[in-house]
Amino acid sequence: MNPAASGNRPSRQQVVLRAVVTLAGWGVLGTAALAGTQFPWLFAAPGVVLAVLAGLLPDTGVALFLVLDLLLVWGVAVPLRIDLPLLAAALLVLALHLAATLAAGPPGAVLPASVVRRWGLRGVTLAAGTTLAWLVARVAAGASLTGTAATMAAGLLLVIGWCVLLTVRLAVAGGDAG
Amino acid sequence: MSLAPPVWRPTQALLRAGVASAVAALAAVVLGRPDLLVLAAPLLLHASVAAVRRPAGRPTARMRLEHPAIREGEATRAHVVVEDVAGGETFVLAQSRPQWTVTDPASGVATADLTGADRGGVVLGVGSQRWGRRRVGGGSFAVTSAWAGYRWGPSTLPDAWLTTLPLPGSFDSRAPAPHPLGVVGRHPARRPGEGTELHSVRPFAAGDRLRRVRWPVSLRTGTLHVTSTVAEQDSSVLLLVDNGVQVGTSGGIGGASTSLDTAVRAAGAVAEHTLRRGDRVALRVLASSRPAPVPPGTGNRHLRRVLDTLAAVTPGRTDSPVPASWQVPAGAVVLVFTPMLSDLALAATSTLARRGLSVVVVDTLPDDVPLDDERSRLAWRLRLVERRGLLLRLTRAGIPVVPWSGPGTLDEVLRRLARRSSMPRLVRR
Repeated sequence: MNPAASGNRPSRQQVVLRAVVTLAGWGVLGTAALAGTQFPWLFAAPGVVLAVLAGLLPDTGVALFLVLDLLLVWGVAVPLRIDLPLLAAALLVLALHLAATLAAGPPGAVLPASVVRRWGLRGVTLAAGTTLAWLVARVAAGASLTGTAATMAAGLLLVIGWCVLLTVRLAVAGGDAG
Repeated sequence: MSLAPPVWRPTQALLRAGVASAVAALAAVVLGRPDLLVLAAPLLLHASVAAVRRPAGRPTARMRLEHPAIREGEATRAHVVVEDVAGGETFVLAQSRPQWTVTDPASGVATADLTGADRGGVVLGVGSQRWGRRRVGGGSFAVTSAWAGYRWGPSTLPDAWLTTLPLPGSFDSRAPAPHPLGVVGRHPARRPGEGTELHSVRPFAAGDRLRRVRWPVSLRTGTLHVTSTVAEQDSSVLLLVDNGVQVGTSGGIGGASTSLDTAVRAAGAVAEHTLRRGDRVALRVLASSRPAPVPPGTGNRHLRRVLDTLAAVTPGRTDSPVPASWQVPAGAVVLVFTPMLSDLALAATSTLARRGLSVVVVDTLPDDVPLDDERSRLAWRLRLVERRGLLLRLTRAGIPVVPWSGPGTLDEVLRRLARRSSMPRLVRR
């Protein structure tokens, strides 16, 4: 075996993770097609391609554009409903994101079993948090809170707070880099 | 390629989670679509946890080889130690893999869990498939923080020199040394002295040891006779490796050999055999002044010095050596390991032979030289015809030429040289 040639090949673990990225992306599009009233092919077609590209290049910004495209497709295709397809789509987004995170690395890298176990636990934690968010949203939807001024204000405060936190954290990191 | 100074930078995962969740949250509020926020909830959660766990350490890594010198086909361990990794979780190392080097893992990429058993670093396997000195084990490393929020690097991991000593092909010779002129050794010399091989039976003289008395002869002749033996002396061998021309394609330890591969391995084998017999070995590289010549010496330490020098041989002519000025021990046998394709090799061989030294040419040209096109094959055939004529002229001039074939390669030639050395001959000076 020529070791120089094998260095550019992804490991089996990376192949599986990359496949999960692509399949999860397609899964979200499929869920949107099933749950939605109309399917926006104009936005979905780039999503199909981006899912493949994100699988091939997990450590690049392609996965970000894929997630943004999936949000766009969902927003256009599916009317506002807090139901099971939404939870399934959110969990698929989680799978896509985690798989892309773990697949990032030089080709041929194999994560130690302890790291994989730890990320499995983290995935379960994030899935639980997502389910909790879905439940809260479902309860809120049942209480008809959406659309009131109070909800809007609270939501805006949350968004602004999150954006400020994120900007500060990333700016600090960027400043260090410079 | 120079890498940017390493710092902790947000990973693509953190950027993706942060930006996508922020866009989703904004869209959810502005469009009144809380389902988009639910869709991006896992990203929001991940980004929140990862962003607040920014590490503080400044990771560094260094590498140490367990054995800085190995034989061809052997492997050693490279210990990569990672320090100051506060907040770091996963260590990834992508090793550079020079030609003729194999790594374990084969991809050259190793990962370690810095919060678990691999806290101190990783241990990698580094093997070498061909003799020589090369830098191994280095590459670039990166450390990722908890929740894959930040990444340090890629940063450069300094490599280390690994010396691969030639694996001597099996070699053995039972032929006597042509000119044993040293002080002590195993070869029967021409003069009488303390030894084991019978020289003559002669009348007793003052100083003879009593245990040398030959009683049957003494009784028969009526005068005391003793057995005299020939002295045992060591000999010198000068190994001359032609590095000016390299023919063929090397396939490493298990594959095809170039002319230089054969020369280096054969020289190593002869050196090992000769030094184990107690003789002295000197080494010189023909076409360059580096590595420096090894003067005659004996012992295991000298063998290591010879092998180290052989490992440092590189193909190509860099100097114009003057063989006439080389200091060669009197009575030394000169073994020239060469494909005999350069004027330099011819000049050196004939110059040393004219000095009255016993010179043997060990032909290292590989049997099969892969050539791409018909024109090259034709040119090569012409070159071989020229070479055949050259070898014939050498043989007629009294310089034996033998192809390297492992054990016994030099037996017949050395026997002939030993016989010839006892005869009178004409030497041009």
